[in-house]
Amino acid sequence: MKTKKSESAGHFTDQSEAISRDLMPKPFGLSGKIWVAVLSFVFLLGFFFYIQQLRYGLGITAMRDYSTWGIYIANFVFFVAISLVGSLISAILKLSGAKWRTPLTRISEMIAVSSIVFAALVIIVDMGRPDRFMNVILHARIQSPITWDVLVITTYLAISLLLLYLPLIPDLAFMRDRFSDIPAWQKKMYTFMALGWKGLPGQEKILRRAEQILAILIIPVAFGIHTVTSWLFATTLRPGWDSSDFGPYFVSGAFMVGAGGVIAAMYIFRTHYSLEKYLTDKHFDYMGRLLVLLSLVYLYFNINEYFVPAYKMKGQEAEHLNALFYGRYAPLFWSVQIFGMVAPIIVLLFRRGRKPLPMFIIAILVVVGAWFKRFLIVIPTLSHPYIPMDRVPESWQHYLPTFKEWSITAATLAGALLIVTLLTRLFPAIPMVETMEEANPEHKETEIA
Amino acid sequence: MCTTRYFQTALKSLPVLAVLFYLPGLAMAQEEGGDASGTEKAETSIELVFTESNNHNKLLSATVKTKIEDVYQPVSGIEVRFYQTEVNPEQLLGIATSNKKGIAVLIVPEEKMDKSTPEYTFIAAVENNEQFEDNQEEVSAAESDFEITLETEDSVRMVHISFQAPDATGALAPVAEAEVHLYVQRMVGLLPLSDDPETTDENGEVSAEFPGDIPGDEDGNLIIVARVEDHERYGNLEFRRKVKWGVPLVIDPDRDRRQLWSSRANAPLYLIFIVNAMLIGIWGVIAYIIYNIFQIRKLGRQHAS
Repeated sequence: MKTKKSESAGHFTDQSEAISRDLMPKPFGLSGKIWVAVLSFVFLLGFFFYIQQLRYGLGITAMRDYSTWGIYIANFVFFVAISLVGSLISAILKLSGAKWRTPLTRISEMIAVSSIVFAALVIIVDMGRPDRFMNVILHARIQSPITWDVLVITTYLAISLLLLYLPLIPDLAFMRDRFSDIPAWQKKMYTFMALGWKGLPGQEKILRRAEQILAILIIPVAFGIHTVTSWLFATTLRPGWDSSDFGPYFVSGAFMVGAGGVIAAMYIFRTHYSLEKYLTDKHFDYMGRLLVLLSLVYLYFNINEYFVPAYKMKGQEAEHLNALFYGRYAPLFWSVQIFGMVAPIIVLLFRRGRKPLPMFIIAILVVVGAWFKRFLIVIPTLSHPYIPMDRVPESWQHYLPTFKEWSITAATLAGALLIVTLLTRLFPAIPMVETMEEANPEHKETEIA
Repeated sequence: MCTTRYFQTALKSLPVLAVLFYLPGLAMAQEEGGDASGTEKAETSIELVFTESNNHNKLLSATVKTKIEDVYQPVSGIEVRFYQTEVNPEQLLGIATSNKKGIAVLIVPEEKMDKSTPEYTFIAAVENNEQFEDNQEEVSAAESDFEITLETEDSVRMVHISFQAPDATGALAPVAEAEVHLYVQRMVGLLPLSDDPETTDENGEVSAEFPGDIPGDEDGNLIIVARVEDHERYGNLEFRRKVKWGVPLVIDPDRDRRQLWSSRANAPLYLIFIVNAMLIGIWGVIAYIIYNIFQIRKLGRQHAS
């Protein structure tokens, strides 16, 4: 793609041109095409099995009378958790005046939108009769946390879309005005989405105010979405779920995995698109410090969540905890606690640990650990009901997901990554105009001369 | 041009999508429908049960199964013909189709029954089916008189059961040493009144004390059920009687009040208010932001004009 330097306002500096050249969305190279092909294959394979599930029901999964929630719901909680990164970067860091967050905002919002879209889809995947989905809304019981979850997910999705879209408007106008050799449909799309943006003071004022309002609004909604998700469990009398601090436990874990997700994405974009000038070591260092803080908070809640019931070891709760500490789930439980939480804290406390590559490895550990952490929250509890399992088939007493179930779950993860990938193909992953303005505070790149 | 190319690509991908939709079903269909070619018919097993209720309603229940991978599975939707004495169109009592559990049920029409003898033979047959071989099963049952009477003697509630059957002369004679089970009908099943069945004496009678603490409906009504199960000569016999021996159900008036655990129509008002206030507040702000988006466009248009 080329930019039209001569036709635009006279103050389009060389530095701005370099920034736009670096940050503009680029066609996929060979590695990008392979990446998209792999994601598409995983997605289509899962879709193929989902069609089977639609035709033959949830019987194709390993879910039975006891494990009525399986990896679909663990995956749902993971998606909701990682979506909180949007509010962390776009709202909490913005309101706290952290200027360094600029290159991270778009990536985090893209992750937030794709995650929350798939969180909603996964709920439908988990339904035995998705054709009855509308009944959840038409016959909703307002007393049910499931109803609250539907409401808050929809609300969070709407705000996340706006938080992705509004800061994108100046970039859209910039691409509309300055990119000459892009396909006509792409130009039309930029023109339509840019809303006639000219960088007028009135437009600037409205846009900044709207962004500020959204940044404030999304924080309680973000806390709400994950608190309500935690209540789906905590309002149920089950060992491992019957806890009063499930809300903050979930929210703190969500911020941690969100930070891990954005760090991993930062590293991939930095290396793949050579964005070292924009996603600098300083950004990794700051995100590393933030991740340590979030991990410590989450560690604190983990200690509360496991130590207090383990001190009492009462009834079914003891059976549940024994299965986690020494039993069937112990290898997974200790791996998640050590590699997904303790190791990141230790490594990131050192300056060398906060360099991009170690940070990327740690971020992957955090994200993978977070997924299995949700597995450990959902599944072992269901295997230890208060009423003992009696005269039921052996296969009902344990839950081991089927290949089809794994494939469908992998498809949702691939789908979310595919959305992020396609969004970065169409829109700049790092805000272009904002970066230019920060580099040249006196220039307004999309303002009419 | 570009759009046309996209449409062409989309059209080319349609067969792939069609295969994706179709293949899962095809694979499963092949797994299930082993001999769809029709060259060889599958065998069935039929289990026929006769039940007489309140000395009047005669019920025939045939369970049809077939072997799939060495396991007997119910055959649903199969037509079962019921005959009396022999398989003959003139002796046909009726036709029933099996349900999901493979059970076909026929209430024997009184007018079609041949009552010339006190002992009956009923036959259930699968005939001329495209998928399954012909098969039949028969069950015999003799005429009987099975009845319960209920009495309260000195505040003690007693269930008396009388079991008789016609002898060679046609006169009713007691059926001794027959096992009789006593139950109370509950919402989804029968509650046994004792672990072991009662046994009739030489007079064909048996009595049992009825407990006084079983909940009934709002008026205290209960349905007491006496059953003879799988008797080799008389089949299954059942007698039901409704009586006000239950503890009247008192409906908790709190049940209809607005509570967290009430139905959706009785949600607590404070909750309705809080949830709606939050929704209106947050979506009001979202609507305001969307209004701002239109304002940005309006300013752009005004400037352009």
